[in-house]
Amino acid sequence: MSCHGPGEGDVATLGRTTEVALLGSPNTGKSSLFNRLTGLSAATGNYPGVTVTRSRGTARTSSGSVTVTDLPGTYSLEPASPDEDVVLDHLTGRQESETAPDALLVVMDSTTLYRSLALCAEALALGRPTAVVLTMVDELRARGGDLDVTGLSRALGVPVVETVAHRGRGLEDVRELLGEVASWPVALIAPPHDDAAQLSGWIRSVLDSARYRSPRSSVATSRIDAVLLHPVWGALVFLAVMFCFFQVIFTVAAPIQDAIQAVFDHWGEVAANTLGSGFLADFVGTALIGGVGGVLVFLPQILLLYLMISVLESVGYMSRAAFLMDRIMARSGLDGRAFVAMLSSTACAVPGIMATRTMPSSRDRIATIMSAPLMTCSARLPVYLLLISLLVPAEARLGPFSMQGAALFGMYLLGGLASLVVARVFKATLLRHGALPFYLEMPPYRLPTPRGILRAVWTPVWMFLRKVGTIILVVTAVLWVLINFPAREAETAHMDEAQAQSYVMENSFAGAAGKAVEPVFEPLGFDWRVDIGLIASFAAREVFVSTMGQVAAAEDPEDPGAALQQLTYTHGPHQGEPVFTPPTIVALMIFFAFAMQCVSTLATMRRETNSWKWPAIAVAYMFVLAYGAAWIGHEITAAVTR
Amino acid sequence: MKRSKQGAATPSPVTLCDVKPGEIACIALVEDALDPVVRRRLGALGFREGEQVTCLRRAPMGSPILFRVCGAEVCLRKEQARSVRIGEWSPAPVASVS
Ligand SMILES: Nc1nc2c(ncn2[C@@H]2O[C@H](COP(=O)(O)OP(=O)(O)OP(=O)(O)O)[C@@H](O)[C@H]2O)c(=O)[nH]1
Ligand SMILES: [Mg+2]
Repeated sequence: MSCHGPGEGDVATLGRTTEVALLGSPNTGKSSLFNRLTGLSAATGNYPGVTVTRSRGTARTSSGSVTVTDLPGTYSLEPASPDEDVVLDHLTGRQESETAPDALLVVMDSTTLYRSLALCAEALALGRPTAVVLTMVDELRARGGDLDVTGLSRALGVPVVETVAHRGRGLEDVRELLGEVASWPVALIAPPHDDAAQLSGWIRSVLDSARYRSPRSSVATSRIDAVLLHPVWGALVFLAVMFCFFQVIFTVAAPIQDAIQAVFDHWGEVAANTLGSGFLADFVGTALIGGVGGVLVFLPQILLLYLMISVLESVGYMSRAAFLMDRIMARSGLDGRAFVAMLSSTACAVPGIMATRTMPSSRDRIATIMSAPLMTCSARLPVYLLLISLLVPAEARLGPFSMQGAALFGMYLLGGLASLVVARVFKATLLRHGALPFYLEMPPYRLPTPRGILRAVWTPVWMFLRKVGTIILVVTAVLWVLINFPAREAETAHMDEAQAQSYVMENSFAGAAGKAVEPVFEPLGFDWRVDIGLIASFAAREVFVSTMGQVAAAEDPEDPGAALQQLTYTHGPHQGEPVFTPPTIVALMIFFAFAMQCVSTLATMRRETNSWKWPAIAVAYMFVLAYGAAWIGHEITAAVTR
Repeated sequence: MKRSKQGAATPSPVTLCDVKPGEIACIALVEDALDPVVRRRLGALGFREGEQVTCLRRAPMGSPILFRVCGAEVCLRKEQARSVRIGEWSPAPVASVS
């Protein structure tokens, strides 16, 4: 590197490592390659548009290391959507925090080489040091295609290697290639990329020199599509799969949940025996085990939810769902991509909102961003599971199905329908006009790799565990203090333990706050203890579960499980009647379905729309919707069950 | 197939929207009146003059339509398909593009 001066093809390394950008069409395997090169775990999936931000990592090469940047996929260097803006911003170093990459590694899917070469032509015309990685060569050969890498390299004038990116085959060649980044050539004559006829001519001549034989279309994919994209069967299969999934949540996850619960119960006993009574024992028993433990027991369900979403995504179903749903989404003024963003929001609204970056129309984007938080996210899952178990007996059946599972399915449907209606309203009022084209690539079905699934499940599960260990733990501990102080030792001196606990809670700081807002929520049937949970849930929805766990443990330390069901109003016209009646539970579930209680979602909305206006509108409309719908739900349930 | 009946002199152009599943057509012209960004995006997806397109299937209610173009499967809404005019048009399936 030192034997010749800086020239065209030379990459200056002035005290920093060489920057290489991965450039390619969507779904070509850039992130898979990035993960293999850097050992990081960027999200991958068989859907065009999984990556919407850039991420950097260091790759070890045959001679030192280089910095590799994974970029969103793009069909051309003329951006049509915000994720493609990210690519161009990076390539030009437009954003001040970024430096333009020194060299480009163009990633092309060898099964769609004919199309990919158009982007390659644009990339070569940039006049930067360039090399090419071909992915999916396993599929190319399996489907009867073939090509000659040396021929392709000669025709393009840059080095080419072939890989199977997700399995890491050919990775050593890529490392070697990256090691020689200083000598990557710059295209001498820019290929034509403006004129359609010239471009097609150039592509044909390149493919000829590479002796490219294009693959047959995948037989398996067209057979599966014949069913899954069938006008009738397709929709039925989709609904059946979803319905079965919610059954599985109760039938498969519940026993595991019970096992975790048993462990916590055991620890509770151990703690009670070793710590005796007093504040420390109470803290461990109610806050840690009753509260935080009460959230942690829902880990199996959350794991299952993410497992299902990642399987759907890595198999290649998301594009199909978008294809099937486009017409229905069009009724609310959106398109099939918006459906995928909403489906991702069933994991968490934050990635769902990020996924809208692939949408070309900014109005459609904002409408989707505004309605995505209504989808049932995984933070609502523990709340629903707790409330449904109070409302519907575990033995109740709907034919062969569990009634609890059906109720949960209903809550997901409610969230989905509400977000469609809200999107429709936004599109008809604040966000009229603007129909940019809808286009979407349909990748072949692919078998998910265990590694990919593990990564896709482990990342959110780890985030859930961290959330439990940080924000939920802290808020629960703060609440424990607020519920147990002032201690009121003088007043409770003559009471028995349970009475004393209720008295302290009722007159605690938290009790005062709960009672202060009680009149607001009285029409919905919530009493001051539910209100404490409701206020606290604005920190994180799961905190509602941990707060109710604390309340129950304080009311009846012997059997907290039954305590919630037996909770009664302490004053007012309904004094002595149970709080958790069907109308109250229904109202609570609806409130949680619609209320905006997530700070990260608001922060993401603000970042993606670049203004506080939209998050403010979201908070307002969602609160009105939550309160109004909860009240209606309360009244209807009361009328039906009276 | 023809949508307009007024004036025998100007038959409405045949577009990708008219191609039935299983049929192959050759793109003659991408509407000039189209927004240049959309036009170039269609080009980048492979919908360029001279390319062969196979219609694979239609979603329930006729839109979107799934095409194979330049070796990839891409779906477009009816509205976009309508702005791509086609020339030669063979109802019988032919071997894939080279
Ligand atoms: N058969 C095969 N599959 C691959 C190969 N490389 C990647 N895949 C799969 O292709 C899909 C897309 O991979 P990603 O790495 O997410 O692609 P990407 O280019 O980052 O996609 P976007 O971020 O959406 O632009 C995943 O399902 C991978 O498992 C390969 O060489 N062969
Ligand atoms: Mg990616």
